[in-house]
Amino acid sequence: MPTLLVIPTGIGCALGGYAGDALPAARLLAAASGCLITHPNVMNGAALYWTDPRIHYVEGSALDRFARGAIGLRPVRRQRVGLLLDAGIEDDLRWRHLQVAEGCRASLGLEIGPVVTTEAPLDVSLSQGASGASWGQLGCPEALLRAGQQLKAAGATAIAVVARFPDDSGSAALAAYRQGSGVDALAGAEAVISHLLSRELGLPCAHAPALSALPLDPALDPRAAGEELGYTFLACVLVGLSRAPDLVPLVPGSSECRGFQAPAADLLQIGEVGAVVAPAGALGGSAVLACAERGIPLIAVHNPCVLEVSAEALGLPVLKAGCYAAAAGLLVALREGISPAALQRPLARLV
Amino acid sequence: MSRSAVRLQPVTLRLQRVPGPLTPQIERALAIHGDPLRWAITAVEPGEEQQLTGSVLLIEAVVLV
Repeated sequence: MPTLLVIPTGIGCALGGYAGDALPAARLLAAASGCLITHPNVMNGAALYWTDPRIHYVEGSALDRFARGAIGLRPVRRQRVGLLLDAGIEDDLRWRHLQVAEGCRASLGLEIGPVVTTEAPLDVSLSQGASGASWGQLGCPEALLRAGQQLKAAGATAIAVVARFPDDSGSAALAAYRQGSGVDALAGAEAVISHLLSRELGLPCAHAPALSALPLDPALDPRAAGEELGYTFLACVLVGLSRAPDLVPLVPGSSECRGFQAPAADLLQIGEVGAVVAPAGALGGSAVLACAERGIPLIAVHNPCVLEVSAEALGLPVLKAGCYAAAAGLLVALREGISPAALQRPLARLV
Repeated sequence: MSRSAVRLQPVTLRLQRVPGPLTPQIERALAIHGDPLRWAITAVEPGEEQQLTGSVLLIEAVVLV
């Protein structure tokens, strides 16, 4: 039963608020559903990653379009992952990223290339919304898009982007994050970059920030440890994109219909999705609302974050789960045609 | 790529909810500011007597202009 798992980025979710710390939950839900569609924030653990043929790695804006019925997902054996590097990355850090790409070719057998550097620094800046969610800006979006177009023209079928992010090694926010509280300050800007590129090019895309290495912190929260194993966040992105599904436009006449193709048997579409799983306080995103408006069962999981956009606040019918293990149980029930209400007591009379 | 110049603009808006699906309401409100790239409802202020209609949604977004 195809299932969407959404854990929005940059809102400080207790589970999923760090790089890749929702991976165990994703693996569990993939096993429970048999087919999980989720986004890089869930799957990317910097130097850590996990591959599972039941999990489809779909960038956030593509996930939104999938949920709206504008695109379908076509599984592939492999993607040719073009590497897009920000001209603002210093030479030594650039070499570190190139060597990760070489390592993924040599040790994992991934098809990577070509490599294109933007004509100007992307000039990434970070910000925080009124809600406390992280957001960000890109000073030179056209340079990003031109480099992406070059990669697509050169045969890349997916794009890994590495942008230089501002170092804030002395900030209180970073110190709090490393010790297990607060919000991932980078996540909002990362999402803007990958959304822009994926939407404009129609290719699977994902982003890794380029940052200077941080000094050792013995008090590091276990959820942040995956982010400090190496010099880059790139390996997980390359692995995720290497088997990300193709994004196939479905709506003739829309701006997304360039290269429109008739649906094929192996094309996964929103009408086949049997459930969507999201944090109980973060139900106001585009993909979750689109699914709810289609009547797809929504499982709201207790997963505290900085938002309080709940089912009650929005008037959405949901199945409540106290944790992701409980959500997995609900998925199995839905998959097997067991009414979740029959699993609860008291069981109300029909009349 | 049809755009000759792309600029990203952060937008925060308050939207009073009316009956009907939320997504079209939000997209219509954001379209006034540009082409929505990424958005989310980040807070909800309840309407009178806790009614959904009339509640105010805080939307945070980035649009293309």
